Parts: sequence; structure tokens; C-alpha cells
Amino acid sequence: MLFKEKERIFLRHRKVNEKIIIVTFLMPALVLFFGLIVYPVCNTVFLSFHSWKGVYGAAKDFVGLNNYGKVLSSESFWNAMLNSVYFMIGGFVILMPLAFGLALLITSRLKGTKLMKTAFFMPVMLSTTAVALMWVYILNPSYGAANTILRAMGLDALCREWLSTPTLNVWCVVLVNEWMYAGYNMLIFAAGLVAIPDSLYEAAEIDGCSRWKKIRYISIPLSKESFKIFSVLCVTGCLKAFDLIWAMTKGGPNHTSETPATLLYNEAFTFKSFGKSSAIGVVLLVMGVVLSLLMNRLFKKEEI
Amino acid sequence: MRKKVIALLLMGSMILSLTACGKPAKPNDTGNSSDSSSEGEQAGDSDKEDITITVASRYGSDVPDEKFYRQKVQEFNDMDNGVKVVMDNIPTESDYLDKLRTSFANGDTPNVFIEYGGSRVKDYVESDALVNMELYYKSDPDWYGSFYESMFGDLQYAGYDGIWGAPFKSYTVSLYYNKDIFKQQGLTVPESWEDLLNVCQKLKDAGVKPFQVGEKDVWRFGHLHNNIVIKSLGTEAVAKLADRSLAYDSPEVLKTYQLISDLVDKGYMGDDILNTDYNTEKSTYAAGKCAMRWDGSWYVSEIYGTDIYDKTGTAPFPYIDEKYKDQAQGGASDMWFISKLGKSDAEIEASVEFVKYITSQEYTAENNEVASVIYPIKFTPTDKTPQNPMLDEIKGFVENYTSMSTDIQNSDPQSFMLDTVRNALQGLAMGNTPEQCGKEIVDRIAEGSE
Amino acid sequence: MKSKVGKLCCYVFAIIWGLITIFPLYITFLSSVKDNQGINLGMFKLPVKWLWSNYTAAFNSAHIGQAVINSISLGIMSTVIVTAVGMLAAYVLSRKRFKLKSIIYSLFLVGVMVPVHCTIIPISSLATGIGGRNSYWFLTLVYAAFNLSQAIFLFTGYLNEVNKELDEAAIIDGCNDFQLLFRVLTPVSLPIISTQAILTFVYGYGELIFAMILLSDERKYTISRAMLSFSGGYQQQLGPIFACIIFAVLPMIILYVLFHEKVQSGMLSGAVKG
Repeated sequence: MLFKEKERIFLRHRKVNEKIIIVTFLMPALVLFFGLIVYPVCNTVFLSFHSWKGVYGAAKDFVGLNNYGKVLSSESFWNAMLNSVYFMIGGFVILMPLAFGLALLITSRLKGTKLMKTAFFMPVMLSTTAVALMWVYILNPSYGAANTILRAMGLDALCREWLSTPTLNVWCVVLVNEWMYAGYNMLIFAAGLVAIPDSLYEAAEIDGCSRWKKIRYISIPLSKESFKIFSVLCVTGCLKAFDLIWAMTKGGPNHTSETPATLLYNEAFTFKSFGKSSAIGVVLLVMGVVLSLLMNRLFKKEEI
Repeated sequence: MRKKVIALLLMGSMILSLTACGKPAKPNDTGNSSDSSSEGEQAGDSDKEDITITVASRYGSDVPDEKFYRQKVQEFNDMDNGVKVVMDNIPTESDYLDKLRTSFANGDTPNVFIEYGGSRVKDYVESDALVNMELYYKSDPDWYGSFYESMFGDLQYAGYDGIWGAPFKSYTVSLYYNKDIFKQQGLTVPESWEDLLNVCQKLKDAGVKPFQVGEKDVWRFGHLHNNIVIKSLGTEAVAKLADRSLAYDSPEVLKTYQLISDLVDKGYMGDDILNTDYNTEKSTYAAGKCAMRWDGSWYVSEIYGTDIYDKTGTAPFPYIDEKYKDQAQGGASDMWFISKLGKSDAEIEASVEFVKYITSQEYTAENNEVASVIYPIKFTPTDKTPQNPMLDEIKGFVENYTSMSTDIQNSDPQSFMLDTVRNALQGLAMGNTPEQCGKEIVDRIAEGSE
Repeated sequence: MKSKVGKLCCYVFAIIWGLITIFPLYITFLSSVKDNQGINLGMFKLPVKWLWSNYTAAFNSAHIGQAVINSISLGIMSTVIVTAVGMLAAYVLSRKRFKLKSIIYSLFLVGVMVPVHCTIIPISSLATGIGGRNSYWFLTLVYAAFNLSQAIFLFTGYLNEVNKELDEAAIIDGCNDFQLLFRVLTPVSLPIISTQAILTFVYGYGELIFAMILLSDERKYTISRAMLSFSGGYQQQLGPIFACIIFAVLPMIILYVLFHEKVQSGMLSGAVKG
């Protein structure tokens, strides 16, 4: 009784300050955000309705939805989208379990987790240049390690021209992508895992739960937030995937491994079609927002 | 403890960043004199204020002629002529273009910059962002006369009278072959396309790779196709392709794709060409693992002084129609342009002065001492010029050529064509038919730009 | 018995995965003492001739020492900003109730999705407008902004999971918002803070596009920008590039090990989730 009254006084007192606190705490983030993210986005939206060759002072002709029409009706855009979808599939089917597994490993009571953590995170620390060059070399059909190993095992039939066969080349980059970012996402999952109280596991142990059961009934459910975060980051990351594909295939051969982001880049900085490039950017943004909202729904539903 | 660590790191970073900013400019050979240092010099000057211009180029790497360029700019700055140059050198092409194109979009362009002419700068000419240099050439006929006339092709545009830049470097594409391999196999240097096919077949039969093309870099087939078109339809086809009176899927042009297709199918182009890049192509050739390659004349300067230089012979690219034997791919590559976006007259005058300095015969003659390339500028070699027989031979070819053209799509009205054609040609290496290749290009033309 | 087999499996998996992730470091090192031909014709072979000169080239031509210091400063400054600004915002978004909350939260979410190439031109024109060219403070803010969305996203998600009883206890003890955030919630959130800090640092340390567009003063070059000096004209000198990568990765590994271990080892036994 007394306790509740005390709390009420506190809350009333706090309400006066509440607004000030909210505003001051959010202000720095909002300023940064509006200045450096929202402003460029508005600029992109504006440009997407115009035709502009990227010369300051030159007329930006209003073309309505023309740019969108061109983008959405072009085969190359949908091919690139399909490649993005491959990235997403890879992300959920391979990267998510892999990163979570690695997170379990480094937060476990095994020995040498320090070393593991550093090793697993290595690909992200090395630059994309190094990683891409190495994998391109490994995947080279004539002298690369991939085919050499296959041949040594007598599996000549499985040898492929990994990076120049359409679709297969995208999947190769997808796999390299999972390899590279497994450590990155491992950190995100691990941060959630270390926060799970040991007492829960101990209780489960007393109940005679197996390792697998502990993962299934404690680790996974209590990492729901991490999974949600991963899903959103993965979907958006896949939509704007650029660096690795650019370094490994440049979208080639003959545009077969193009992603929407490489198209966007080329439209702007190779062909100077800034309107069209912006339209691609806006389409990606909208898709990203829609997919993340969907994802949020999905995770909320499961809660019930 | 943790807080201490964080605080220490923070402090450290701030000190480091402060020292990074406060360090005096040290003379070095890698690049830019900075804004701050040139401002300092300005303040030191007594009566007249210097005009500062920014010059953007790709000459930031360690190769001799790029070092020479930076050294000469330094010398230019040391002259007391009232102009100070601030360099911004970004060696990688895509990064350089990112920055250049961003600066055009924002209106804060460098005063002087390097580009490659043709369709790549057409948008800037159309938007009236560049200085028409014709007036300056007219008022200084000696300067104008020092360039080879043929080098201005990619600097002129139909409908926009004038000359929109100054040539700085030039090149021609020719064939290089391994003399040892040719001797061992008893082969003669191919002059015509049939010769080339024969040589290739003989090499292949003997178990030697004729070529190992790095078609992962799309411009490799781009250059091959340029040569095939020029040597079978002549340089006059270039203008026809540009105004579409010769279609990219017409029978004549389809035949040019067919020739590439045949080379690929017969296995003359090497193994896994889509997985081989330009660097690997050169390494393979240098290791004696393939017999021939085509490349720009810059290749001579790259191999000058190495073992493979002595083993290499050079010849004009084989002709398909004898009529066009003396035509070739070549011309100006790097060119200087002067921006007038928000620039004052004084800045433009200073920019012209700098361009004159950097394209002068004196500069070229001295540059020739450190770099073995061909130049768009006439000059008398100095005594210090090193012996370079291969380059002399290429200069001989150029003197014989009656007509040259750079990348065919450089003359195209659409700036996306260079990339489109190169990618379509890459399709040939993936097994696309010539018809598919032609259709891909024509479809993209139909889609148009914005 | 069964658990022993499981443990063994874990170890085997960890070792295999560790090997294939650490392998590139080895390859990078090998390549850093070769020339182009050595790399192109045999990336995995031991070098015929050990070209230590690539390292001196990295120091002399690219001034890699200075560049590493610049990159570290940029990385640390952006990390500090992202952490501070991100935690402030995340605290409000997870602990307060107000009208625009979900809108602001979704707005930040949008930030994760913006393709970087859309922003180059507006940001660069902004830099010109407010004198942010050639300055680290502007570049730091750009890096911070690009990491802020993810940070807020991660922090808010984490704070949502943190047991609210912790707050109540603190409030009863008379904590105000500042104290609650920095004395109570920040220590509990250290795992996620350190994770985000590492990711931000890696980004700020190695970023190229903005560093290239916004900086033209050579003394301010970051490591990725300095490395470009080996890829001129029609050829790249791969050996020195790899030498630069080795130089670049060493400080990162050191910082990573120091920082991450400190944070994750000591604390966190309490009931955070629930």
C-alpha cells in the first residue's frame, strides 16, 4: 500500500519531466538522422520523378512515373531482384542457423572461445578486396582449389565454372557472403545469448534436459528478439547487397549476377541516369519497409 | 577499469586526430599538396593573390610517368606565375569517376580534370559545363599545331561546335607475340585473319595456347570487337553505327560477332576466359603460357625492362578486309577538360594556362625519358630518352595508319552503349549466339535512356 | 558419454570453421610478399622470392602508418558517437510511452535500408554547404548516421528484453532517467553495446566511398583510400595492397581482442532476461 503510493508520487513527478527527457534524449539521434539520412532520401525521392544527367544547374525535367515504369518493366531489374531473393534464401536457410550455432559455440563453456571468436570474425575484418580475390581464385575452374579438390576425389562430374554459370554464380557469391558475415551475425546472436541467466540452464539440467533440449526450449525462445533483428537486417542487407558481388563478379558475366544495388550504381555513376537510379533506390526502400513490417507482424503473431 | 579503457581510447583518438591535422605538410611524391598548405603559401605572398585551381586526375600511383606528372605539377607550383594547383589523384577508375560525377552533380567540380572523351563527357558538353577550348587553340596556333590532328576526334560533337578538351595520352591497339614460341613452332607473324586462324590452329595442335583472354574484364572483347569492326568494315562504320544507319544486328555487324564466337568455339581464346581477368591474362603471357595477346601500347611501358620485353614482338592487328589494313583502334585516351561550372574567368584562364603547361612539348619530351608510351603531342626526343625498339616499331605502325578510331561506342550518342556492347560481347563467351548478342544491344537501344 | 561425443563434435566443427575463416589471413600474408605474377599464377603456393619490399612500399608510397592512425581515430570517434546517441534514443524508445513512438522507431528502421549510393550526392553537397569537406568531424557524423539505425534497432531490442524489474528497483532507489540509463541499463547492455561498437568500428575503420569523396587532403587519407595508390592505370600492384591489408587488420585484431574480452568476460551473470 505504502509502496504503491510512493510509486504514484514518483510517476506524477516524472510525468512533468517526461516530455523534456523524451525530447532531449531523442534529439541527437533525430538531428543526425534527419540531416544525413532523411534528407538524402527525400532528395532521392524527388529525383526519382525527374530526368537528370547529373550536371549541377542543368534542368531536372519532371517525368512523372516514367522512371518507375522503366525500372519496373525492365527485365534486368527483375533478374536482379531474383538474385536478391537468392541472397535472402541463403540468409535464412544458411546464415541464420550457422550464425546462431557459432554464437552458441562461443558462449558455451568450451575451451578456447576467445580464439574462436577472433577467428570467426576474421573475414569481416579483412577487407572485401582480400576476401573476394581469394574466393575468386578458389573458384577458378582450371586451377582453383574447389575444382582441384573435386577432381582429386574423383568427382569430376561436379566440377563447374562456378562464377560464370548463370544462377550458380549468384549462389557462389551468396555462400561466400554467408561465410563472410557468419561471424558478424554471430556477435549479434551472442549478445542476446549471454544475457540469458545461467539459472535457467541449471534448472533445466536438474530436470535432466539434454543439451539439445536446452537449446530448443531455452536458448531459441529467449533469443526471439535477436532473430527478429537478424531477419530485418538480413532482408534489408540482401536488398542492398553490393560490395561482395561487385568485388567478385561486377554483376557479370553479361549481367547474370547483377543485384538491384549494382544496377542502381551503374545507372547513376556509369550512365548518369540519376532519375532512373533514384527510382531503383526508392523501390528498394519501399520493399525494405514492407518486408520489415511484415516481419514484425510475423514475430508479433508468434508471441500470442 | 572499463571506463578507464574507454576514456583512454577516446583521449588517444583525439590526440591522434589532432596531430593528424596539425602536422605540417611534408614534401612527398605521392600526391597532393593540401588545401591548408597552399593557403599558407598564399598568405605568404606579398602583393598579388594567387589563384588556386584544383586538378583531378587518376595519376596517383607509383608508376614512373604518374610520379613524373606529380613532380611537374610541383614544379608548376614553384614557378611564380600566380597560379597554384591543388591535385586530387584517385587511381582507380570507378572511384575516380564516382568522385568526379558527384562533383558535377553538386556543382563543385575540379577546375581541370581527366576524362576519356566521346560519349562519356557528352552530357557535360550538352549541359554547357565545359570550356570550349577552340578559342584558346585559335589564339595560340603553335599550341594547337603541336597536337596530331587525329587526336581531336573524341573531343568534338555534332551539334556542339568546338573542341572541348586537350589530348594528353594516346594509344593504339596492336598484337603482341612471344618470339620464342613462334620460332619453336616455325610460325610467321599473322597479317590477315586467315593467317591468324592458321597460326592459332597450329599452336593449338602443338599444345600451346594461342591466347589467354581475361574476358572477366569486359573491355577485352570490347577492344577485340573494335579491331574486328575497323579491320573488316573500316573506321567509316563507326559513324554509321553511331547514327544507326548501320544497325547493331545487321548482317555485316553480326559477322563481326561471329568471328569472335568462332575464336571462342575453336578454343583459341584460352581456358575459362570468363574467370580470367586482365591481370591474369598478362601474367599468363609473361610466364610464356600463351603465345599472343592484343593490348594497348601502354603494355610496352609496363613490360619495359622485364624479361618478357625481349621475348615479345609486335605487329598490327590482323586485317579481315585488306582494304582496311591500314586502319586501327587508337587515338587519344586521357584528355584534359576544363570545367566552367561556377568558375570565375580568372580561374578559367589559370586552368588553360595549366593545361598548356601540362600538354607542352617540353613536358612531353621530358616525360618520354621516364615513360615509354606514344603521345598525342609532337616533340623531339631528348638525348636522355632510353632505347625502346618495340615502341619505335609501334610508332612506325601509327605513322602508316591512314585512319584510327578509339572505342567505337565513344562516338555513340548514348552513353550506356559502351557498357551495353561490352556486356553483350561477354555473352558470346558464355555461348550466346551472334544473333542473341545483336538483339541484346538493339533491345537496349530501344529501351533508351531516361 | 553422450555429452562427450557432443562436445567433441562441437570442437571439430569449431576447429574446421575456424580454419576456413582464418585461412584468408594466411593467404593475405602469403600474397603480401609476392608480386602480381606470383599471386596470379599461384595464390596458395609459398612465394618463390619473399618480397618484403612490398611492406616498405606500403610505408613509403601509401604512408600506411599515418593512414592507420587516421582510420583508428575515425573508427573510435564514430563508435563513441553511435554508442552514446544510440543508447539515449534506445532508452526512450524502449522505456517511455509517447504518441509518435512507433513512427519514430519505424523511421529509424528505414535508415537500415537506404542504399548508400543514393546518398553520396546529397551528402557531398551538404558537406560543401556546411564546410564539411576534408574534415573528420563531418565524416564521423556520416559514419555515425549510417550505423545509428542499426544501433538503435539493436539497443532497443535488447533493452526491451531486459527485465523491467530492474528499472523499478532503480526508480524506487531514487534514480533519475540519466542515472537509470547510465548506471543501471548501460552496464546490463554491455554485450550488445560492445557488439555494435565493434561493428561500427570495423565500418568506420575501413569505409572507402565517403572517405574518398569527402577527403582530398593526403595527410587525412584513411587506410582504404591510401591503398588505392597501388592500383593505377591499367594495372594493380596486388602485393603492396595485401601488405596494406595486413597492416590494416593488425590494429583491428588487437582492439577487438582487448575490447571484446574485457566487456564480455567480467560481468553478466545476473538475471537480465525474463
